[in-house]
Amino acid sequence: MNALLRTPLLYLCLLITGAVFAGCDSNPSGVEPVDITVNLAFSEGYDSAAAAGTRVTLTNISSQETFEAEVTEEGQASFQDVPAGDYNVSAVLTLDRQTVFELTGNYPDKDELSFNGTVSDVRINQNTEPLTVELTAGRLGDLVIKQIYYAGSDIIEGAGFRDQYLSIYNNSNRDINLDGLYVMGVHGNRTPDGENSQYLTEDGQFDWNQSVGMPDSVNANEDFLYAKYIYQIPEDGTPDVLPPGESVVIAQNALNHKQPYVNAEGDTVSAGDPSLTVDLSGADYEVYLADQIDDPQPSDLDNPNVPNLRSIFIFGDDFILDPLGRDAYALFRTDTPASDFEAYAEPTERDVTENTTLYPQIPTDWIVDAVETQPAPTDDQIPRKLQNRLDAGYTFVPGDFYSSQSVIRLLSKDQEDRSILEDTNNSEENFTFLEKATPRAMPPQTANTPTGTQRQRLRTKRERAISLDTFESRWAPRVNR
Amino acid sequence: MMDPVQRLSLLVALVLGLFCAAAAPPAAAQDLSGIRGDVSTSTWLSLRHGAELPIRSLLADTTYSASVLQATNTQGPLRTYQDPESARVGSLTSYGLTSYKGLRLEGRFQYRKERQNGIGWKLGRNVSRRPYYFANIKPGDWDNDRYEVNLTGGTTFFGDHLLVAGGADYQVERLARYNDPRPSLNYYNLFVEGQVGGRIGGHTVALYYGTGDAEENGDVSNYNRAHDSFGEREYNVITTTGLGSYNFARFGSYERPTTRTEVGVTYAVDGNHVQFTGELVGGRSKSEFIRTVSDTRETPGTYREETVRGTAFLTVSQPGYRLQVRSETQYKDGHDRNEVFAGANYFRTGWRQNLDLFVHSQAEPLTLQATLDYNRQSVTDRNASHHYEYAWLAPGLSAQYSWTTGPRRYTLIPGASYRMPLSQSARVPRKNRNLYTKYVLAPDYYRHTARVVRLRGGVQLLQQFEKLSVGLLVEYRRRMAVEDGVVLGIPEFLPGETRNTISMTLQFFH
Repeated sequence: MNALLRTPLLYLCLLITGAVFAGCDSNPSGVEPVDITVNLAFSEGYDSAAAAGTRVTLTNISSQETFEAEVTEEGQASFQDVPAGDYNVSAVLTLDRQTVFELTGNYPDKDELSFNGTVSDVRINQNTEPLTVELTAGRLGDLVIKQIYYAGSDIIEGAGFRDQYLSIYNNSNRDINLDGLYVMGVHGNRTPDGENSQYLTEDGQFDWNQSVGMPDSVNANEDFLYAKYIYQIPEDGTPDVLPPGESVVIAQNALNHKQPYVNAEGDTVSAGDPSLTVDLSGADYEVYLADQIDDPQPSDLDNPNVPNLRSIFIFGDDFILDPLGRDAYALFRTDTPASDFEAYAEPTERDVTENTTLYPQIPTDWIVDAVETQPAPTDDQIPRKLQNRLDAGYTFVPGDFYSSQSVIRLLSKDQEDRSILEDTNNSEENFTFLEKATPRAMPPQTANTPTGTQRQRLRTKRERAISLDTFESRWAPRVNR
Repeated sequence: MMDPVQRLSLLVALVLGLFCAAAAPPAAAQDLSGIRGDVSTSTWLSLRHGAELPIRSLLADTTYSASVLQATNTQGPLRTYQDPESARVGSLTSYGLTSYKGLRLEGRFQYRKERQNGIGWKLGRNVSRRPYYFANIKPGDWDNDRYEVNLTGGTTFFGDHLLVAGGADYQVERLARYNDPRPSLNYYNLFVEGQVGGRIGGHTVALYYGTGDAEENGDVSNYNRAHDSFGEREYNVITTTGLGSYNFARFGSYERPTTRTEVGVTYAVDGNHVQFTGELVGGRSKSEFIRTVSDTRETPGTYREETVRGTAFLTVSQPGYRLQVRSETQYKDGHDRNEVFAGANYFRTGWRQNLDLFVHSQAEPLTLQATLDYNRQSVTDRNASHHYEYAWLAPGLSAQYSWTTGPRRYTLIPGASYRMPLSQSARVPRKNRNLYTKYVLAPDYYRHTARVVRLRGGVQLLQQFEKLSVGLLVEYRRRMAVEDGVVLGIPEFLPGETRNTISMTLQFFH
């Protein structure tokens, strides 16, 4: 019986000993919210500009939570109690015409001049030193990309990607002749974590400086874009003049996609739910490739009432915008004939032969406007293709591909004769989305928020979007290369 | 001297053990699992719970060997999002305990084949109560092969006054999920342990030390290319880094090297009518999580956990009955070092207390078991401002009654328990609620704060042969939520009300 009395007591002692054992080394330094300071710097030529009033935004890459602060007279933005994590930092400053004149001696083309700065993927924790963001003056063009309907509509119930379009808006106060204007999709690396990382920049984008044959004298990454496709508004002798406040629609297929039609193979095709797609029979331009390539899309019909764009550099078998939002888009002008465009292979292509795809190299000086899109932000983001001075942010449709949604530029202000759209070269600030793409929709004044309802694309099949990845770019037959 | 069947069983366990792996003794719910051949239920319980450290082979003087084939089917919605919708498990277990030339030898081998369907937010081997692992939203189906071997041996010197024992546990597992994203995992664990002690009279004291390491490696790929580089949100590979912290940076592989060290002590007393064994083990483990893609390696964090486990097993024999009491206390205290957040972010403490009282009638046709389980868990993620804790108590009763007809023995095993929440709280500010909150935390919190009744019924038929007994045990278990748990926010998934398990076990006692 003594053993009976002793043993529970011993067991209790052992437990206490164990608790002491567990208690030691249990005082780690815990994570605390972080106070972080962001310093602003101006790019060359604007050294004496005052940064006070600049709005700085921290966006948590994982949670998309944002924190905003304004730069004080001391040129710093201070953030308190920011959760640790990986962030994108962006800063926007808009100066009026007079201030720009006082700083530079020149008046800008527009009433305001915007400065943007971004720093991507910054790790913020207790050990982070103050950050510095350089503000660069944006290039402001008169023509802007107003709306991009890249997502397409449900493959089964809608029109898939054949109803894609893009619209261009005259955001200036004078008529603009569209003749000769180029529309391009920007080519770049979509899989930064793939092989051949030695040919990528720190941001995961192609390091075009390493492309075979690239001259040492050029800054191939900073001063150029590389085209995935290029089409041109034809110069047919009759000027296509776009008045201020007006837009044109460039359709992949200028059809009324809401109604049944007979495709090139003689099949009657109809949308199960016409409300998901759009009527593009009134588009201003379309792309027609069936007379130039061997295996066009069956939907690629020629609407005789709608002028066709001139094909320069073709991707796949039609004017296909990436439904997943992995493209960037640009408008440019140049007097250089397309046949003389420089072109280079991807830097990962080390053995360049006559069969290797060479991507046209477009100087950023030619760019009129450019917009970067990305998959919805909780998806994996892909490396940016546009320089900050062209677009300091990106836009997206929250419903992702085949959702019938489009991205559209926000309204800045209404004047008597025209509406002025937001154009600070930061599509994160300048764009919102339309729940249902509408070719000539009036831009909303404030950003829309997702409804949270089931996305239309969940009814569709994803494989179709993927099949687009097998397409390649090539020169149009009529370009004399 | 072993008979041929015993020798064969031990040989199988030992030989297979060199290549494969075995589980720790089954959970308490499996205590009453029918008549174990010629071994009485109380002796079987002493074997299982008398001691768990290597010295156990020297504390029992019986020989015992058994092989078990088991098939189990579990399904029902009373589960978390990380539990399978349904699971089928087949297992082969072989166990032997014997003496050979002055050595006491014990070997156990187990192979488990698991088919688990519909598991979400889990792309790793074990994601419960740990901060670092890969996950994705869309549920998928797993096919797992697990091998486990336990080997223990011991001997005495100086007239049984000095006791030396050692052992090794080895696990090898291959796990794979067959829906995008598709992880393929390999896991091994080797743990070696030793004990040295002394015996004076009926008292035995032995010190224990164990050390080992484990490694889990996983590669995630996709059959559909679209899911690989920019997939839909449900297919994205998420790196979970806490309770509510995660990120979407895409990494395709991970490594999880883990080291563990334990120290402890065993005390046993063997009296005329009283036997007692108590053990206390303190352990520390360190588990690093490394994710890789191409030539990039990154360590989001390291998780450390300290564990204290105390067990006690008391047997009191009286002329008319035998009484056994088992107690297991387990305390866990873990925290991480998060390299992104530059500090300790994830904190977890857990305390479990299990008490069992067994009363055996004379000759043991009847065994009654009363259980009382207490569980208290607390988990915090500082950066994500997620915290929850709960405590519950589960009393239960089981019985095992058997009767003999000729060479056959029949056994009935009914049981029931009732789990009641004692306290709970969850603090997640509305603005911090995210995918993890909705898919993982909220369902888990709901499930552990619900009132649950567990019912159990089993029947065993045991056929005696000359040197072999063969048993067939059929069991049915049902868990029923009789009162809803606490709902946090608007979860994307909520557990249902029932979960059922049916198992069929073929037992060979040699």
